[in-house]
Amino acid sequence: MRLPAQPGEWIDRTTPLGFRFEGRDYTGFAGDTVASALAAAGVSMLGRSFKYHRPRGLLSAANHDVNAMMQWGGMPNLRADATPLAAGMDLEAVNTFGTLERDAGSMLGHLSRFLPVGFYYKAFHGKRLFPLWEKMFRAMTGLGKVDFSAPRQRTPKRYGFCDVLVVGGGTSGLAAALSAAEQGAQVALVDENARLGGSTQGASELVGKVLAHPRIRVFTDTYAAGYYADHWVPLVERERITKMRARAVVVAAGAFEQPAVFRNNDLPGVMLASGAARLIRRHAVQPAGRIVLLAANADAYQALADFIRAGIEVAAVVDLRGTLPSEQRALPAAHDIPLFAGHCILEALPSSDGRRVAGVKIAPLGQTQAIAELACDGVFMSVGWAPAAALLYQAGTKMRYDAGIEQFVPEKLPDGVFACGRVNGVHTFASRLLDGERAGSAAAAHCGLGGAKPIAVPTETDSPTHPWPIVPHPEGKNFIDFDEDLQLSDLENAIQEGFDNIELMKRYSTVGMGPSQGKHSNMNALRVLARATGATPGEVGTTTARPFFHPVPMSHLAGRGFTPERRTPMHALHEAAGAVWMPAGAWQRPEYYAIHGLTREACIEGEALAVRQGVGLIDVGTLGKLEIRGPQAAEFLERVYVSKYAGLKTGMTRYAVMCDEAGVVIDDGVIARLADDHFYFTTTTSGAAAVYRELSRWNTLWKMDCGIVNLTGAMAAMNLAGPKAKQVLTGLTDVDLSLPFLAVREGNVCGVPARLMRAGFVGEWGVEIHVPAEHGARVWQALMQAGQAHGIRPFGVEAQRLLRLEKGHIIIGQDTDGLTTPGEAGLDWAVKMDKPFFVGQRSLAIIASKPRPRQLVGFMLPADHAGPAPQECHLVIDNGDIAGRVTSIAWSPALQRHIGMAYVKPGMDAAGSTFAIRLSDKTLVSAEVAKTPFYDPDNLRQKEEA
Amino acid sequence: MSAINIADVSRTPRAGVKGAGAAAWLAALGLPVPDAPNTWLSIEGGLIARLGLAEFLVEGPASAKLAAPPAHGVYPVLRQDTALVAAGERLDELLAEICSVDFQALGPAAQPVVLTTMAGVTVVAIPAEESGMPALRLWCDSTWGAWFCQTLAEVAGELIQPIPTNHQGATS
Amino acid sequence: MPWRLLRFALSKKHPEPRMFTRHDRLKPAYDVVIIGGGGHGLAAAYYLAREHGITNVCVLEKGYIGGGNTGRNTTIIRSNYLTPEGVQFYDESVRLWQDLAQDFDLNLFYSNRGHYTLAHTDAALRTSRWRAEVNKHFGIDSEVVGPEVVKKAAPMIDLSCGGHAPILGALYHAPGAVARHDAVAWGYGRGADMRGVEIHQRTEVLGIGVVGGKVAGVRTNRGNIATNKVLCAVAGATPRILDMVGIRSPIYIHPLQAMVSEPVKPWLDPILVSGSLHVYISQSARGELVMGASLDPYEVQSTRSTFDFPESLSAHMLDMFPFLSNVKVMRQWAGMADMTPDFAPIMGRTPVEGFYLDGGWGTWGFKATPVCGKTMAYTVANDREHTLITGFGLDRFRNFALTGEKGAASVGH
Repeated sequence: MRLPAQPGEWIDRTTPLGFRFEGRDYTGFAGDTVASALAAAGVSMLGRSFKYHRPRGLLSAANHDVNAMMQWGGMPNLRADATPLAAGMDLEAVNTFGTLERDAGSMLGHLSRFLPVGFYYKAFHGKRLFPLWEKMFRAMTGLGKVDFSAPRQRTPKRYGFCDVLVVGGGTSGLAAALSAAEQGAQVALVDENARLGGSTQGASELVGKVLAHPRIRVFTDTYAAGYYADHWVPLVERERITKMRARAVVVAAGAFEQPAVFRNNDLPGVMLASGAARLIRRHAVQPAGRIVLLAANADAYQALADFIRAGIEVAAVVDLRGTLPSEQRALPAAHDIPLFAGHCILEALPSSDGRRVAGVKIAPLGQTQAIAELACDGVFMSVGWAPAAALLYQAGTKMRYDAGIEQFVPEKLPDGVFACGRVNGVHTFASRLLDGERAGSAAAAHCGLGGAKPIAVPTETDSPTHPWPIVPHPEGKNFIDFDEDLQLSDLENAIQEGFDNIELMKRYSTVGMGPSQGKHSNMNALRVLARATGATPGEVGTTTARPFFHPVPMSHLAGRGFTPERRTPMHALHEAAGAVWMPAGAWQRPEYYAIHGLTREACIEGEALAVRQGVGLIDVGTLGKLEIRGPQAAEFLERVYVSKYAGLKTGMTRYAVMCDEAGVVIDDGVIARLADDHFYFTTTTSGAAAVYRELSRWNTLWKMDCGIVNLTGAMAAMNLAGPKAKQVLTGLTDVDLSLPFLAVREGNVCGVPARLMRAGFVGEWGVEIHVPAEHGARVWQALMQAGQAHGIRPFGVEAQRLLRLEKGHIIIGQDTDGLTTPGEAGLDWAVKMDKPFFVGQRSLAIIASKPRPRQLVGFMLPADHAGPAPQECHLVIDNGDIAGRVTSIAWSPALQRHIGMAYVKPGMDAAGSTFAIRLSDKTLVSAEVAKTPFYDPDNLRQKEEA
Repeated sequence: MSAINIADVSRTPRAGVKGAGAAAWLAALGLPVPDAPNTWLSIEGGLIARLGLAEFLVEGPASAKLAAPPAHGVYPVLRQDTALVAAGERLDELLAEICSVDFQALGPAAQPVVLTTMAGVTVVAIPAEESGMPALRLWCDSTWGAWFCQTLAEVAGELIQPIPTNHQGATS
Repeated sequence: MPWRLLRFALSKKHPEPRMFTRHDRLKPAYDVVIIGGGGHGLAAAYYLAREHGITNVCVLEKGYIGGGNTGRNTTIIRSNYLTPEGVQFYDESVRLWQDLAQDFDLNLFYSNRGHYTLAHTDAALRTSRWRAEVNKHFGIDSEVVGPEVVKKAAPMIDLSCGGHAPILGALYHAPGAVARHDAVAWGYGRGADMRGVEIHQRTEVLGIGVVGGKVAGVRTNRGNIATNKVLCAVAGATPRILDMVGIRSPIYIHPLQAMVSEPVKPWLDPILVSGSLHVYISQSARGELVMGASLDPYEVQSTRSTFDFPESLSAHMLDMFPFLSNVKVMRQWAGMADMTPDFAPIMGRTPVEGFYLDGGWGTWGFKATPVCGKTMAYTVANDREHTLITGFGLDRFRNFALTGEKGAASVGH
């Protein structure tokens, strides 16, 4: 029922909003939550419980009411008590079979005695039927539904910075924020509610001051998702995440009011007093007409005042304490409300349709016979608190159990982390103000702003929390965990079965594992375990608190999801030439250039043919390019590569193989000597960053007289190759093109400073041309232009793969794997073991003393081979055993047969011998070991002199 | 001045050098050398920035001096950057979306050079001022440049013209 | 029909006894001391008792049973490894998994879902074929499939992965499964306990006595034990225990994180792993999406959570499944992965006589729980390596006989 205007209410009565719930139309106001609007409309049942499908209503109105989760179209798992009402909402309760009203799942409630804690472990595991049972379980356990057509949401994240981050805008948080700001701190104040002020009244003046303060930035409708190292706290707002880096953090997160445990404490209408008070104050909703208040602390009586003011009839106050302070007794007395001190609620009684509470049975504490039955349509509970200490735990705070106030409090806080208010064990209003002021001041002082004020905060005289608000009942249904439908007996049974420490009990019973992650259940569960094992709550301890404080949408976590891309300077030219792109790490490379009317294979073959017969041009700019200078440059290279370079003549290049300490080949490239103390060398595309990092690391350790520069992005590189290549280049460069095979020259190409290296990777006369990136496109274009007359074709990665295979050149990572040593890959010739030292040398010496496990060989299929050809990684089979695998294979247009490389067992590698390759369909194909290069075995074409 | 303005100044001449001998070599060439790592100094028509301990970026006409033959312990670094000037009232909002550095806290007076990443791309950043507005000089490897500029434009564009978010994007 | 649930209704008192006996004190001596009460240690104890009749065994657990990586992993079981040693080993594990629930009389929710390792590059497709061929050679059901098969198994997937990592195919492994990880520890624990093994929780090993190169005893925070056989089956703490007996290993430890979503109605049946995006996902019987990625890229002996983990994992997940934008992540956690240079475990005897090692389980330990227990039990009982684990000896690092699993444990799950 809606009340008349309440002072400071959050609803805007001038803006009514229509919405649907379970097929019925309702109206609420702007400023309502879904739950408050439904409560105003008199709807008690908001959902069904997870296991037994019992009717459930609002419990906390503090964002852990998992039983009031709803689905709106493609949005699953909206929490009714924390979701603002919007016009046109069309909501359904999650996890019902049928409708909320007629939920077929409610039959499970009748089966409850067959379904004790862990019941699903005790049965259903028959092999034949398990798949069926699993299907059933899966259908019954999920909550909301995923909508495959929902579009991707990109909610950009941002970074934020402040001196002092205050988590929680209640009484102590407000005081802390002001106190820190007054000392000069830039403060960020965060509260998950729509407005500041927390759960207590009397903070409005503070709120005003905070909102007006120039150094306080307020984030409402925002929660701190977790605490990460160095005061890194993600703030989850409605539309985005702000990743806040603070210099000090004040946790003023308050406490979760805890439910009492008695039979049928889950009936709609049974709720936390603070939740009821929030409904009244914020949303002008009267949650019930006639209530019984279950009390055990001062907060209960403050709430009682609210209830009376809201016109709620109070049938009785049942207080678990035998004696209470006179000022608390006075309030019910003044209103002729019966007070039952030292009593408890034995059970709540359902209405005839079971949809709401209709009364309670009460008894003196410890007795099982009811002494009275009271009619009511609401039970409000105020029996205690559990600190919202997740962030403190995550920050590494050591907590201790304070028996005086029956809650865990911080014992040792890490540097820069402060706590105040209820989470710090301070509950009285005036004390919370002081505690906040103290913590805010200390936080500012930690940032070097002012001094920490020495404020003494009085300890609580009365415990705000009852140590045992739990009443057993032979017929059960006294719930501890509302998310997971766990009763008191479930936990007792788990303990009986040997799950008698806090983590095991949690994992076996699933207490605290539901979406609210134990906010209203962990403390009571802990108390049960303590009592059952004769330990104190402090000895029992808590389970690990992990992020997130509330579940965070994946869209918010993902943000934009930046995926940087890298392009060579000739990218646009490739695009214009019809390049079909393939990703190579972050780079894009042309796989081949598409020609209208031709298949991919035909295009690739055409490109390869052009290189063999005319001239081709390939962009190799993604290769790593490094430069090393200094008196010890050659020595350095000799330490990190397996070959010798001290004697390499200036103006010449040499192939380079790099091994790791285990002697495994990890990279290769070409080293060019530009001067005595100056080398320019390449790495593979995927190895560039790692090699540069590793070489830098080595030099930091060795401190040699040389320096390494990474020019990978700074240099464009292209390979012009083919019998006509020299002609194309003539006239475009001042470099003497009679340079010998493997030579390197510095000069100009198209008027631009360039390094030219005569290379042999694809097996034709060719030069690799390296120019500064800014000139790459121009040089490429000039070469293509000059090459028109010679039928020049750009060629891509696939054509290059084929061409190099015809020459038997290996590709690191394709023809080598995570264990290949140089000898296995036919690179023994490059390894100079007589050097004083190189990375991997020691390992290679050990390996050399053992039989080689395998050998990479070239092979060919018979020229008349018909049928499918093997693919890369098909296995070599010898006598029914695995004897190796194919690493590269392709149809060679030059040789008109399939060629490839494969690992085989030693002894199988004699040229001319055959071996069997097994295809995926188990057929065997015969292959013949062949010497490489397959094409132009004497390398005449690539070495050709002018 | 618009809310966010990004200008491409990649063509401005620049050169780099690193090594234990670099500082002395630059001084011998007549250039002022920033003492502290990650700081910069103004020079005629440009700047000289110290990147970390022993690497330097020189921009402007003076960069031509770095073509001199290197001395011992001096390693020339070919610079082929995509260089940008980002400025505007809302620059800070743009930066807040792509970079974890608190530029406000740096105080341009100390002339800091920041080596960091933005939107996942490694950048050198120098906070400055342009006509009283916050501004930032940025350099990144030109192979990342196209994607980086495109992304900056996208993020800036959305800031100025927010894409209407689906009202169903609630956090509860 | 689950008839056995009837007894819960028929008796007033909960009719279930303790699964794990509580022992007030340690005996002065045991035939075998197992350090580590996770899945591996408890499984070894179980098979020692069941297959070898060795019951004078104690399992010493520093915390609570299953509290280490057994309780933190993402529960994926498969045998699609790269090397013959690996394949045969994990295949035997999968075989044992089939009957485990029956052996324990405990439901492990062992659910055969099918496992797809998505390939986004040529190189990945190649490695997929390599694994498939080796698997098939040993009779294991793995095959390389094209993107259309992936689409059929998960019709809601975005094959282009947000446009920057298109799926070219996948290694499909039909036996891929998930299970309830905690229950495996409980099942082995109860089974061992029933047969006389003593499980001592909150018992920390402080030292191991070695005399003349042989194990002589174990020193704990609850007293000393004399024994000639010690099996070390801890993760994260392996280097510390090895220190106690003066053994070196090449184990290096990296954190491994995981996260879980709120429960939603079932929509994902298979287990999906992406090598390029370095992410994987499955949906548990509770409806939660269990997600993980690769190791944190640095050596840290810690189970701390970082924020960049759920950030980048979510971004990649939305590349594959854009409609998950509104699904919420409930919780993230971390464990420690004992990595080895060849991504294969270290099992068997050590230079110290009577000291057996079961470690180096990196990101591949949970699925091996049954075969690990069985083979280590055999090894401890006979002081001789079981044939299935001869490729995993500690000495292979000195002898350069590495088992190259690096290709198969790409994201390692």
